[in-house]
Amino acid sequence: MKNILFIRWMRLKKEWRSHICWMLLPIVMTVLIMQGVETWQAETKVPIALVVEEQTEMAARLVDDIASTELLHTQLMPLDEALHRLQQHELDSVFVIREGYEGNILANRRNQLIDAYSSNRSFAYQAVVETITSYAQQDAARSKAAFVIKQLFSDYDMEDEWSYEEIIERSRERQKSEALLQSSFNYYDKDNTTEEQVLPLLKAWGVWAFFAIITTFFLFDWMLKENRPSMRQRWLFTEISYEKYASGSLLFFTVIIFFMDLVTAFIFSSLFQEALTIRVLISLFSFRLTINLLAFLLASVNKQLFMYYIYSLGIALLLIVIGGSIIPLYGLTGKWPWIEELSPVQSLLNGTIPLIWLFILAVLFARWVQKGGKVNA
Amino acid sequence: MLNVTGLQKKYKEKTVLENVNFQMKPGEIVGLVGENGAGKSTLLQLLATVMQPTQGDIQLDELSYVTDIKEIRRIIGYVPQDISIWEEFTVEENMLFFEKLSWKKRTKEECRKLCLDMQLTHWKEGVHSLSGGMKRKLNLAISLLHDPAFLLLDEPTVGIDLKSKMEIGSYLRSLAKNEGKMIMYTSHDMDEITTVCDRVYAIGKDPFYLNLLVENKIPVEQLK
Repeated sequence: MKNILFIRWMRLKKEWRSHICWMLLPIVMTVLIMQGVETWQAETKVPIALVVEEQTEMAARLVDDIASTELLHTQLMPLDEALHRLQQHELDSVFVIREGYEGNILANRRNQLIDAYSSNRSFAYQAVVETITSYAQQDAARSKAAFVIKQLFSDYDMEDEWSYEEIIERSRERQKSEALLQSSFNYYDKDNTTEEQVLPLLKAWGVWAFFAIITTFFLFDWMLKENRPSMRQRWLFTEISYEKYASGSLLFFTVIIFFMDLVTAFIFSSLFQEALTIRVLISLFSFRLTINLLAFLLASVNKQLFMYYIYSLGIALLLIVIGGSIIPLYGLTGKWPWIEELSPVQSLLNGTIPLIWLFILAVLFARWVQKGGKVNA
Repeated sequence: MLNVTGLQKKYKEKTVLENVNFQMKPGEIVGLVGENGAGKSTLLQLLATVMQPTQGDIQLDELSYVTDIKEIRRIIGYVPQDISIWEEFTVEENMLFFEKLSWKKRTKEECRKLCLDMQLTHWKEGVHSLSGGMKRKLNLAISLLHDPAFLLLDEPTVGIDLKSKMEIGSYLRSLAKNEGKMIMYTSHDMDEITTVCDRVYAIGKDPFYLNLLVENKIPVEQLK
């Protein structure tokens, strides 16, 4: 093994630049793509301006509600600037929370609460108006409900029981805890999993997996270069057979590349808040082993470098598509759970081990080693 | 001692070698000449265990080519027609790379001496900048790393200058005469092959034949 590692190191020294490039490419590309998508998502939000004329708690809450709406990019600014930017078409629309907003709500007056401005290019204006109106309606309805309850307390001589503010606060808590607009179903005797999950447009590990598969195939082209026809005859007259050398090299590459995978996991943990647990690392290692074995075996059955690259690209695309890292497969996997087993990428995303893949590849690898000892040239 | 009896090689229906019989003794150099496609390389590949014969028997030092293939490969040095070296390595790195794979362990100095013995002096030089002759010498030196008793060379001097040809020829003779190695050698160059070899066979096709063409009863050194 010492000799195998020595000569593998000799070969590696001659190609270290390309190897470093291939090993870093998945990290670099994932970071670039994820940040690009994040920027793009931010830029595709509807830009609106809020002009807040009133400094009350209710107005502040309304501003918070609007600002936390995912599809809106909300900016606070004075009216003059907002209208100027609207004229320049830098903003889709401008909304003014007028002086007296809270007073009007409390007085159950629902008209003229917010002024809205749009231009001839305010494509999202109607939708934004609906959204902001719904927030104002919510405040108005909540306020009216509080007054009705207060009235009931008054009717039953319980005026000191709850204040108006307490009722409003309780109403907000109820709204949050019961998610009134969301219905969830669960099977009898199963855990209730109603927690709402926001699905990201792209998953960092999914994007990484695509580049990791491709670059692994490119890294394993040494199998063809070092066993080209003229060199194949040399391996017949050596103490260390090509099978031993290739198997040792597979181990060598797995260790080196997995080290890079660990670096990737740390980077993703800090940049994209991806989980960094033992389970994730085990899943990552099993994914790495699967992909390396796949690249190794694919290279062993190919004789032409060009065809090997073509097959590699095809397989990488196939694994990514059926792995659900680009096109979500939630609907399909719900109907046919076995789809998840078709790609090791899905196992990586789920934090599991692709057992079927590993078993099949391990059997094929064992067969290759066994057959390699017997074949002539 | 090499014993070849009734050797036949067929590619599907096409017979390339038919009833080949000959013997070789240690210290002997046997040459093979013949036109392209006559079967020179095929015969060498069969003797090198790179291919298996359709029929016939080969024995090397009483080892069978059927049952003792691993042991046989340890005592065979095969120099293929294509140059099988790492172009991106230096001469030194090539020698050290294949030394690590070899049955026989050699020091760096021993590897270097092997190269110097055949006038390959560019130890630290990248292979890509070597001349064709130097590459051929390195190709040969690598095949000698495990000190084989039986050396098979498939056109080892093709495409190289006269000086390199003479250096390789002279080195092969010294290997045979001083170290008792058996050498089989193919070439298209009749002058070269009759100068280097003790016996020369002519090989031809349609129908296949293998005839003894030249037998130098007088040592080649004296012929010169």
